[in-house]
Amino acid sequence: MKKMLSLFFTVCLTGNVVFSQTPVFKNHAKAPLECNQCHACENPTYKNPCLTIFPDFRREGLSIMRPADDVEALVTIDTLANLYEPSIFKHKLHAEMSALSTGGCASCHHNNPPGDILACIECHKPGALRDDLTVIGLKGAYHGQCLNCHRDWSHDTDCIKCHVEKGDEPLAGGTNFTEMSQFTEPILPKVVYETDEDNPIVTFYHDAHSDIYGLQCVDCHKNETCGRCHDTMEKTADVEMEPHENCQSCHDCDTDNDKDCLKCHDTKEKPPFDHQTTGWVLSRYHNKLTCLDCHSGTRFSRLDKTCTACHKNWENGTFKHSVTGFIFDENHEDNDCVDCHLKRRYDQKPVCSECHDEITYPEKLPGKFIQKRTLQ
Amino acid sequence: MNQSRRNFIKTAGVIGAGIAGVKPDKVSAGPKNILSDDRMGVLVDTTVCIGCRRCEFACRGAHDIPNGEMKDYDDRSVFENMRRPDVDALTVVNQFENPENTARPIDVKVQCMHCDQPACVSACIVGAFSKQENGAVIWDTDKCIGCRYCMVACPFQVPAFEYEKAIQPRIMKCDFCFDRTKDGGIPACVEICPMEALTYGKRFELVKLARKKIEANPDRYINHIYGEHEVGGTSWMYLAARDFKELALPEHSDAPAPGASESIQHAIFKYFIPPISLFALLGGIMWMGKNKNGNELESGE
Repeated sequence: MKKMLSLFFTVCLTGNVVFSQTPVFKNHAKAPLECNQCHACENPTYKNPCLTIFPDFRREGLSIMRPADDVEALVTIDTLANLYEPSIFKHKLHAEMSALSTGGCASCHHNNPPGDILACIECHKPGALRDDLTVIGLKGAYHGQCLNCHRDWSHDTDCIKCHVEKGDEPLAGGTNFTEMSQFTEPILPKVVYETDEDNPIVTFYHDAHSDIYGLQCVDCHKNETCGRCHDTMEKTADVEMEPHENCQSCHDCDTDNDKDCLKCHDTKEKPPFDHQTTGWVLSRYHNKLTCLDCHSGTRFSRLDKTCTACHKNWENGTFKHSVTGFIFDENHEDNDCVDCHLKRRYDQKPVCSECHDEITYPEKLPGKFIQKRTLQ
Repeated sequence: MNQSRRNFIKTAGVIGAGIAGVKPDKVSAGPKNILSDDRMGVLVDTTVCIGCRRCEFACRGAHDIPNGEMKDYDDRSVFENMRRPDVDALTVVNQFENPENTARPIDVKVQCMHCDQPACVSACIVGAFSKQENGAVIWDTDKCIGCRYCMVACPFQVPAFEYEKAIQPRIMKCDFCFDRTKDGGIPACVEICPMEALTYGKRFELVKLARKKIEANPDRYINHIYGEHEVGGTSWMYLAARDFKELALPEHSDAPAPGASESIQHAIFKYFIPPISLFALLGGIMWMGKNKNGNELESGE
């Protein structure tokens, strides 16, 4: 009997120890962390977690970042559904823009314990009477996050910007949720700068840099604040970034060399860069490449036009000729490359008459074109 | 008969002992027993306030002052002039330029600070003012005689007077929404504040919170909690990024505002000895004069 009792107590005790160590808070941090990174006391409990104020989860590796394409597009905030129409928060758009600042996701999802990304309400509770005053309430958290940036844009704090009274017409574009979810910040097509130089005009094709040259926004916009571009009162935000430094990170130029200056500075607007002017028209496939896929370094110098200069594995048997838009008939299928491309000049269109008599050519082609294109 | 007589003697004895026990130099406006740890307060974070003036709207609503529509308070032009709390605006928000970021001015809400040692309570000659256990400094309109001593005494110049009312003008000031807070509610301004720039809670917890905030963001705040020690401590306290003098919050020492004046004033009024002696003296002079006149008249006849 005594043994039974002692066994019973042992089980109870160990049970207690095990249970007391299991985190009961569902959002408890999951990654291996030192307890004292969040808790100030030695034995935190559910009721008294003694959390240190604002634990610094922004340190590398502690906060979770997700790519902007992978986040919820829209978040409906309807905590005040009894008074106002719900506010639709363009989450994805904000996620995309937040990449331009130093904070990224963490600029809103601050102090997110390692593990799942939590909604505001998980930490910020509604109501002004709270047990723990160190964590701001939900209302303050929402308004703080939104107004922190939006105040710099419009310089007003009018409620109607987000809250439409129950039953009132929603703000322009406010109901088309699908459209809103796909809304992304339009990219500036072109910026014309006027400088103090002798040739004052610098034309910067912004869209080409992002769409064609394959640059990400953050490659140039390294540490932006929302207000710098979105300030409605100062529409022409002054360029705080050092322009030479930004351009020079790709374009090799010597600012002391007048010849180099003229590459950007001119007396009038420069036309956008057209690859054709270099003597090489970009084909269907080459069009999709970024500059650095072919050109290495920062000098975009002339490259060897021979296909095999880049496509090193293009040899007979491994190259599908159909990618050029031309499929051989069975008579030509087994030809060696150099049989038609004399002297390995692949950039030049082969001349049939070099092999065939002039009677059958050009009525009979060695195959069929699957698309019209000019081979250089 | 005997019983009631004994009771009467007992009561008289108690009253006598009570009176004898109270000495003028020990009288203090902030009753020590009232200043419990549980008294409430509000921490105003001026670095969070955006100057939306919703507190002004809610305050009027909670005190039966016409408050118009909420959108009227989006008017920024009021910030062109410095405002003080008045009979129709028990709290006001003032805006100050922020030299570090001109786009983000500093907004400072002004209202009664609800001192721990309130000078108004001390100065009130009819005892209409009182410091409540929950921290509120309130007044009884029925007792008020409109002497306006409280207005003179207040180190923050908060109480206002209904000068434009001919009949029964009242003293008006922030009452910490006593009707709400006495039953565990929260002040109307705190409730509406969208930014939660106002935090309502036990005063000692607010001091702790303020210290933690300063510690965690030393670049954001100056190392000073306005109201923690000023005039002996106040229920409303402020955090700011700039010196409080620049935000029109007056510089005060830690000494309670009632200070020296209190003992003098209370000594005068407590037992009515000086007034009675003064009246006695004047009465005596009159009586002497009357006798003299009488003699003169008599002699004249």
